[in-house]
Amino acid sequence: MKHFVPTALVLSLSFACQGTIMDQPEDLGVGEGPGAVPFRPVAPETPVVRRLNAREYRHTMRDLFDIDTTALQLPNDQGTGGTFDTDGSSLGLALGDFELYYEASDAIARFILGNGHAPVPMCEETEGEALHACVAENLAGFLERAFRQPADSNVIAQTLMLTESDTTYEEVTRSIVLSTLISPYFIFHYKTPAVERANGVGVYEMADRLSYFLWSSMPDDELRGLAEDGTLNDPAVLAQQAQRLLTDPRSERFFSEFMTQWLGISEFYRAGDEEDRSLFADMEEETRRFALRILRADEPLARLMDSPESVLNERLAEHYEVEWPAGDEEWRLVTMPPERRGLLAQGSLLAARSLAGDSNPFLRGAWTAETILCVETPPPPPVPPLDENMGQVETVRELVERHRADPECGSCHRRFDYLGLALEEFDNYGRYRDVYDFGLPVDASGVLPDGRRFDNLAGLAEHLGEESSFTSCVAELLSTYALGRNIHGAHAEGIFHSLDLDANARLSDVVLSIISHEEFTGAP
Amino acid sequence: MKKESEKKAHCRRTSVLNRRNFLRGLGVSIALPTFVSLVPRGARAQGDRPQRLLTLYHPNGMPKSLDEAIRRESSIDADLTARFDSFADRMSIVRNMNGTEVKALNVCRTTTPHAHMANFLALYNGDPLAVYGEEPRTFDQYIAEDERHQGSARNSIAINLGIKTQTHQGVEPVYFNSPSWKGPGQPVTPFADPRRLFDDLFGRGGATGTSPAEEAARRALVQRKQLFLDVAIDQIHTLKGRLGSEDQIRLDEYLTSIEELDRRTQALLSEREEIEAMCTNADAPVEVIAGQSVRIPQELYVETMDVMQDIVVRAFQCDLTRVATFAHCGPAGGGYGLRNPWVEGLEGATDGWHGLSHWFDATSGGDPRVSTNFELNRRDFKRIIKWHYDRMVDFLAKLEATPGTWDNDSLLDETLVAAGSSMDYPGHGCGMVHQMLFGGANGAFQEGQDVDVRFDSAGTAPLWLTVMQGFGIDVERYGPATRPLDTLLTS
Repeated sequence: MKHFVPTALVLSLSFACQGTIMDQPEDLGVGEGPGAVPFRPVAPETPVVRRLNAREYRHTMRDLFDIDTTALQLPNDQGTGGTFDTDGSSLGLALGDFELYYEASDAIARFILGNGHAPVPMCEETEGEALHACVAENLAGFLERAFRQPADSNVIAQTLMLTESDTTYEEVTRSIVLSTLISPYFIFHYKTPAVERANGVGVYEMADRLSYFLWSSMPDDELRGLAEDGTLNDPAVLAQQAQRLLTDPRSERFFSEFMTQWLGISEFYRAGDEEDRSLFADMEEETRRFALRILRADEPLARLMDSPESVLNERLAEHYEVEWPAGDEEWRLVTMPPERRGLLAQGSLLAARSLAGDSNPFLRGAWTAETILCVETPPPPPVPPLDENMGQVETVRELVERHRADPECGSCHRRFDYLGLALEEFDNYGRYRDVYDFGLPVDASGVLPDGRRFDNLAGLAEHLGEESSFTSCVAELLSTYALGRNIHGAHAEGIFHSLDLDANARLSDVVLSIISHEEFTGAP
Repeated sequence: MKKESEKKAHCRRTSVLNRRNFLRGLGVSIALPTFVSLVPRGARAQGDRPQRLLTLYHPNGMPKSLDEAIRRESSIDADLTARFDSFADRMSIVRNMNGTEVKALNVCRTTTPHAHMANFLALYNGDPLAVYGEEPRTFDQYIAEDERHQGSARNSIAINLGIKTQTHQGVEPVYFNSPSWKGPGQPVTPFADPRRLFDDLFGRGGATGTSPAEEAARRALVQRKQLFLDVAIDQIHTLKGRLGSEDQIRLDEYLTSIEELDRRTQALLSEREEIEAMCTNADAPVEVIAGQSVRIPQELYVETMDVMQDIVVRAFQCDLTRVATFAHCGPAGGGYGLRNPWVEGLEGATDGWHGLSHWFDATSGGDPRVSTNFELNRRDFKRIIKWHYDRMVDFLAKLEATPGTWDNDSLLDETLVAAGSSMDYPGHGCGMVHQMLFGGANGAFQEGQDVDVRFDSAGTAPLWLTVMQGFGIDVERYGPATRPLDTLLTS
């Protein structure tokens, strides 16, 4: 008997892959055993230099001058091709962007004078020739902090030249701040090639990478001091500093931004009426709190996949039909029912990857493959009209399997269909179901590429939590975030295999592995 | 072979030395170039740039509630204000200012709220109890007499394209001709002849808005900015030399962005030089008949209005003045005479603007020269209003299209334009009058506000008090008004 299959799902197949499949590199490892993580090809000579993104700029102003620059307009960080806002390929500079930096610098220069945060405070009471002599003697210290490394003599001389016609401390301060904040030495992160380095600048650049990785801001005095005396080159010292930065409150910036950008939490499509949008906002908050709790506690990253708990408010507890525990807090740690495990069972991910009327296994599967397992899912090629026989399928699973049976579609879809089908236990609002609206039972069982079977999402989550593919994916993404460029292909292999990560790796393990790699340290 | 940017860098390095020497030679302390503080427009410091005031006036009110027209609420007169749509986001409106409370000079008699003799003072006056010979200073003159708001040629100018020459119902013409008063018995004499106005402003042997020393100081500010850009460019080239080829490409983006700003800065200098030349060697925009009477012949009205607008725009651009009042005609239409024959459908009209504003009372013993056909009268009255509103929009467009004084703003950004009538709807009353405001006078005033003051008994005075405070005039009272309309002010 023919059953109604959601029209939306059938229609979505018309956008599934048909026609010529693009050639795929052989190392795309589909169904080739655990830990086989396909990589994207890497561009040769990927640039390293990138500018501060807006977040980093504002945090740096807070740490350098103790000022809030939220109201200042800065260049747009939404360029194409980047995965994170630390990715240099998304941090281009358009015509007119320099003027934004100039105006921001000018506004900051005026503001700090009125708030007593002068860059060279020891010269505040001087004027005339004594003022200029004092500034000449003390300017280097300020520039080193702002540039995150010692300024060479030429830069110091240029800055002093710009203050020549100033006669008061206020005028001198404005000149110094303005010229410093528009300098490329302030605006950009870069890595001097080893053969070009002089005066130990490499260790300063490493300190810069470390602090912006974990604090989104400039090194503090302790870190800068260790760079200055070269001690930071000692791997043990570097690891100890990484631990210190991770436990500092400023690391919250890193945790929060990485999770938000990785999972696309802030891009949650807010469809529906006001009540829906409010519910979706709560779901976002659940995912944010859930993830931050695990990262802050430095639990194994695999807990993101298989944790039996989540952090809910009362409305979400009711929505998920979960017992609401006693307590005073608005958001509480809750033991979830057995069908819900980890991120994949959370409403923010399920609802965001659904159609307006129902779930969509293709959207969910593709997103999970790309985002959680770093499996590339190329976009479908141009499609012919919908096959009329599609209407004869009886279940969602049959529909998906018939579609995948077509070799032109299957080579891509077998990478992720099993993930989407496992999530069919949850409707477009993330509510659990074992029966579809049209009456047939939900079959969330499946087979991993390596042949292991699972009965439902909880089973899938358990498998994913036991193997290193998820942790490796997180490591790849963290590397991109930390280094400011996509790490792929043979280039990535060199990093990941040296990271020696397993399924129990914690965030601190991944961070320490990344920062000890020569890609990060800059060591030859 | 050197890349273009490298060649420019070489030239620029040379010019750095020249600029340094120039600044040394100047021998004065120069503040940094001041640029827009990156906070919302409304919070920008007014002290850095000139603020200008332009009041636009038309007589006889409008034929339908402007409330409805502006709000597009089923108003049959929505077409009257349609052209203002192009400035919709820049327009604030202050509605329902109760003109009957303004008793100045017997203008609006409280026993019969009929504004037949409403003159300028009814709208701009701050003192409802004034009598002839004790006319108070109007708000625009408070602004004009503040040295921060004075141009190089005149503190203010007044223009009236419909001068009255005869006493009307016992009231002397001056009260229908002069919107601005410096004090008792001191009206600001309006110009009606564009030739005379032009010569008065420009014919003083060359005048610009600033002295040579001020121009030199401004130029030095821009060149100092270029010095900062030169240093940044030099540092980019040095840093590029330390990095790989792909990284150099990334830095080139920064370089291109700096060079673009440098070009615009140089263009700004050139533009100032052009303006300086224009303002000192100005030619009259049009040849107007010399020696014409103060009363513009109707056949020259349209042309004269256009020329006068251009003169005001140029006077602002050259900073010859910063305060101007511009009346399309005096109150009551300059007598019965202004027939607006250039308005489509009014060719050969037998009645004028004022007469048609009585469209509604033909059967109540009103003006016998008005036809008894209400619909035709109202239609023609509306045509006239629309034509004059369209000229106001033309004026706004000219201000918007003209660069401001020293950065990328326009004259409209530097100006507060206040446009309206001393009468209300359905025409010829002074019950509820309105003013439309455009531009923000360099961020002093909020744009896009809708302020209804129907329960404020102080009439129009609160609005003018607000305007004075937005121009930084330290005043807490204007006529009966003791509180400004706060939502119009940004600080």
